[in-house]
Amino acid sequence: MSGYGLLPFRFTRFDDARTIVVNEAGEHHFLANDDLQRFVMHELPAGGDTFLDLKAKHFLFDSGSIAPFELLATKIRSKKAFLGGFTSLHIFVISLRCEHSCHYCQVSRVSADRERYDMSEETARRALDLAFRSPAPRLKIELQGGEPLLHFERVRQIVEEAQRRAADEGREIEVVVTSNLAMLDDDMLVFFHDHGVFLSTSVDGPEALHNANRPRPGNDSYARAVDGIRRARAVLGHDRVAALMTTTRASLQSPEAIVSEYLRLGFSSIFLRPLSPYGFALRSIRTTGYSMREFLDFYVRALDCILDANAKGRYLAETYAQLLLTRMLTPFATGYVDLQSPAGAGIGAAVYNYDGDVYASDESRMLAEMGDTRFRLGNVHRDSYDAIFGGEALRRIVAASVAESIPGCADCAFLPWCGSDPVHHYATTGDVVPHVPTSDFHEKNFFIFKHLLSLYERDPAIRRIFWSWIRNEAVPSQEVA
Amino acid sequence: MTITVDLSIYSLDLVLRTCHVFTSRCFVTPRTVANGRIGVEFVARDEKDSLRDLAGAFSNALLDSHLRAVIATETHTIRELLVAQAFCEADLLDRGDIESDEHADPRGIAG
Amino acid sequence: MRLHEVVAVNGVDRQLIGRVTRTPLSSGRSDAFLLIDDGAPAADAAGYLGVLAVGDFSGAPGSPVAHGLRHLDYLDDGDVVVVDPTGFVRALYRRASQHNFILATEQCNSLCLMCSQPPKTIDDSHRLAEHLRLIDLIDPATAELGITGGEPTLLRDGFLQLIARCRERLPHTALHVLTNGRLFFYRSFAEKLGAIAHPDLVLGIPLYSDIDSHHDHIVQAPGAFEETVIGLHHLDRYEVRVEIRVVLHALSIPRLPQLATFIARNFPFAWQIALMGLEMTGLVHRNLRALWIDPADYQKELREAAAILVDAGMHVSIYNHQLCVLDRRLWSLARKSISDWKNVYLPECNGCDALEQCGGFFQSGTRIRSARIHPLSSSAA
Repeated sequence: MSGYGLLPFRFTRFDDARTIVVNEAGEHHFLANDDLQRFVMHELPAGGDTFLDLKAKHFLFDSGSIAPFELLATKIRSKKAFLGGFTSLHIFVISLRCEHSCHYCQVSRVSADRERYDMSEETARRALDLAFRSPAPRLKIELQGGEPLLHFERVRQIVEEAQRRAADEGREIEVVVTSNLAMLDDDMLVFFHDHGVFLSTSVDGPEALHNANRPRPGNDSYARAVDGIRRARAVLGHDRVAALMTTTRASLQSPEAIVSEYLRLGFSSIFLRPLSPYGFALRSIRTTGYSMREFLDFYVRALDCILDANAKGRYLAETYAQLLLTRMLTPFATGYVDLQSPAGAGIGAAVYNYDGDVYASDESRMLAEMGDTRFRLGNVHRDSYDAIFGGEALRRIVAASVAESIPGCADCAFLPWCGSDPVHHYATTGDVVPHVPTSDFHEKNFFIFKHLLSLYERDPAIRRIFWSWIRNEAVPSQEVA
Repeated sequence: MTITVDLSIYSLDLVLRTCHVFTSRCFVTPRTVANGRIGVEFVARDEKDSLRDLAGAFSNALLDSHLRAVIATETHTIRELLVAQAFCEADLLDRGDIESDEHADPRGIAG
Repeated sequence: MRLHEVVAVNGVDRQLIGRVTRTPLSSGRSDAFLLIDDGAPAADAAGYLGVLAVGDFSGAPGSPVAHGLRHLDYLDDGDVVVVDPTGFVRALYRRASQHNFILATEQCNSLCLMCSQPPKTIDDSHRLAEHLRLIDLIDPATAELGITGGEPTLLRDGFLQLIARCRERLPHTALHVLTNGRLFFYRSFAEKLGAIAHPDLVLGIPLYSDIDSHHDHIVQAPGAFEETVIGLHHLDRYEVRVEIRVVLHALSIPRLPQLATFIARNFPFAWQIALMGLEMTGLVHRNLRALWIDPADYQKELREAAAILVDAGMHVSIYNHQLCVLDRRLWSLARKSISDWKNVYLPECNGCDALEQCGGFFQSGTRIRSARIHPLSSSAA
C-alpha cells in the first residue's frame, strides 16, 4: 500500500473552488478542487490536516487496523435501518368522497354514492389483517380520503380495532387522520382525544390563496380549516395537529405570505411540497403547473423566510429540509418513504384503497384511478399476504429503485442521502428508471442538497437552526455556540 | 461541434458515461473517427449555450470520470465487503482476534 | 480526612472488614466494629467483629481490638473499615460521602501521560475478596458508587464478579466504572458484562483523539484506539451504557472539534460526553511540558466541540474548570465535580461572587494553573 488506501466514496464538484466527497455511510467533507486529485492519486502528505480529516471521517486508511472497517460497517447498517422495519406505514383510503373539489386533487369525488365510494367494514377488517401481518414493531396507521370524516363510522371501527389488536400484541401504534377538518364535530374530537389520534390537515396559505386552491360549497375552506385547527388543539393538545401545504402556480408568488400564515397559526413545522404529478393533476399540469426551476425559486425564498423567523427565536422547521439534513448530518436512518434506496414503496408503506385494492404508495393508487393499474399489488378480498407483499408487482418496483444501479445516480456524491421513487419516474416519464440528467426528481433533490449545504457552510447561525430541526426541538443551543 | 477523444487515454465506457451527463444540455452522438479515437458530436439544446464552455466542461468531466474509475477500481472490493458486512449478522470481515476472549488475549491487551 | 493509620492491635489474626457502630447492636454484631470514643463509658463488646477504641481498651477479652486510634470523630454508623493484622486501619466506605469508590486494582495496561493515579505493577488480585466483602457491607441506600483503578477490567472474571455482586447487593446504587475499555475489544467480554444486566451501570471510557496514533501516544499503548473504539461498539451492542471522557490538554485540544464530530458520528449512543480539565497530579508533572495549555487559551476549541455535541443532541458535561476561565456560554454545561475532600480555592478567589457555583481547584493543582484566574463580580456571574 502506498502510504494509504482509499475507502469507498463518491464526489461531486460543488463550486469553482470546492469538491464535496461523501462516503458510503453518508459522511461528507469539502476538499479544495486540487486536493481531490492528490488524494485519489495517493499524494496527500500523511499527517497534514486534510489527510487527518479524511482519515477520521473514513475516506482513507493507513494501517492494518480493523477499526475503520468496523465503524464504517456499523454506520452503513444504521443508515439502512429502515429496511428492518418492513411496512410500517399503512394508509387506509376510508372513502373516495370529498366535499372539496381541489384543482390539484380531483381523484376524490363529490358524490353522495356511499355504496360505491366508501370502504366497507369487511374491507377495513381484511386490510387491518394485512397491516398486522407486518413484522414491524411499530405501526403507523393513516386514515385519509377523500375526506375520511364523511365516513366516520369506518374511522371509528379502524381506530378501535387497530388499537385493540396492537394492545393484544404488545405493539406500538400511532394513528393519524388526514382531514380538511371542514366536517369536524365535537363528538369526533372526543373520540380522537380518547384514542390519542393525531390530525393532519391542509393549509395552503392565506385565506384567498387557500380558498382558490381548495374550492368547496360556500367557498369557506380556510375558515373551516382554521376553526377546526383551533378546536382540535383545544381538545387534543397543540402538538397533535399538523398541517401540509401544496404549492400551486398561485402559491409561487407568495412564499412570504404562506410562511407568515404558518407562523400566525402557531405551527412548528411547514412542508413545502411541489404539486405531485399524479392523478388528475398530471392532465392539468399544462394549465395549473409550473417548472421545477420555478418551484425551487419558490422553495429558496420560502426557506429564507423560515430561517429568518427561526433566527428571531420562533421555531418553525421545514419538513423536507429537516429530513434531508438528518440524512446528511447524522448517523441515523429516516423513515420517509418517497426517498429511499431501495424505494420505501411497499417496503416502508402500503395503501389500502376504499375498494380493497392494495398499492405500494399513494401515488400508485392515484395512477390507478387514472386507469393505469400496473402498481396495484393485489386486493384484500382476493389475494393473500404473500401474494401481495411478495408478488411480482412489488418486486418490480423495488428492483427499479436501487439508486446505486441507476446511471447518473451511481456517480453522484449525494446518493447515500438520496433515493428513488419509481412510481414518480413512471408517472412523469413512462419509465420506472429515471433519465437522471433531465429528471425533475434529480433536479429537485440535487439542488436542495447543494442549497442546504451552502447555507450550512456559510452561516453558523443557520447551522444552529438546522441542528434544532434535526433534534426536532425548539430549545436553542445558541448559548453554547 | 465534435470533440475527439483518444481511447488510449480514456476507455470507451468512460467516454460514454461522461456523454450521459451531458444529455441534459445537448443532443449527444458518439461516432467512430479513426483507429483508437472517438468523435463525440454535441448539439446544444439551448442555442445560447457557449461551445467553448461546453468543450471545457466535457474535458473536465472526462477527467472526473477517470478519477471515479480509479476510485472504483481501488475500492470495489472493500465496498462490497462493507455493504455485505452491514447487512449480515455473520462476520465477513477478517475481524482478527475480536472473537477470541479476554482470557486467551491473543493481542496482549491486558499486558 | 479519611481514616488511614497504623495502631496497636490485639487478637487480629486476619484481615477484618466490618461496618462501624457506636450504637450497641442487638443483632448483626459479627459484621460490625464497635466504636469506643475517648472517655466513653464501658460497653458490652461481646460478639462484635472487633472493637475500635481511641484510648486503651480491655473490656472485651478474646475480641479483636484496635486501640490507640487518634480519634474517631469522622466515622459514623454504617461506614466500613478494614483492620489488618499489622494494625493498619483504613476506611473503605463512608456513608455520608457522595464519592465512595472501590480501587479495584492498581495495575493498568495503559500509561496515560496525564495519569492522576499512576499504576503499580504489584499483583493485588488478592484484594478482590476485600472488594466483594465491602460490597456486602455497603448501605443499599447508597446513591452512587465508583469502581476505579488502575484498570478494573484487568481483573477479568473478578471484574464481572464485582459488577454482579453490586447488582445483587446494591440494586439501587448507580455504579460508575472508570475503564479504558480496551478489553471489550473481545466481543464476548462485553457480552458477559451485558448479561449481568446491572440496572444502573455506566462505564466511563476515555477517548482522546479521532486519530488512532494520537490517542495511542497519549495513553502510551499501541493499538489502544482500535481496542477502545471497537470496545465501545461492543458495549453498545450489549446495551451497556457508556460515557466518553476527554481530558483537555495540549495534545488533545488541536483536534477537539474533529473529535467531537467523530464521537457524534460513531458513538451517538453515548450516554454522556465528559470534557475534563487536567488534574495536576500524578504523571502530569513529569509530562507537563508536553501537556500544559492554559485553559483560557483553549476556550475557542472547547466551545466549538461542545456546540457540535450539543447540536447533535448529546449530553455534554464540562468538569474541572474554574468558571473565571470558562467561556460564559459554557457555564450551563459545567459541573462541580471535584470531590468534597479535594477542592480548594485560591487567594485570587477572595471576593468572587461565583464561588458557590465554581468547582475550584484540586488540592494538588493550585501551583500550576491558569494565569487568568480572577474573581468574578455578581454582575458578570
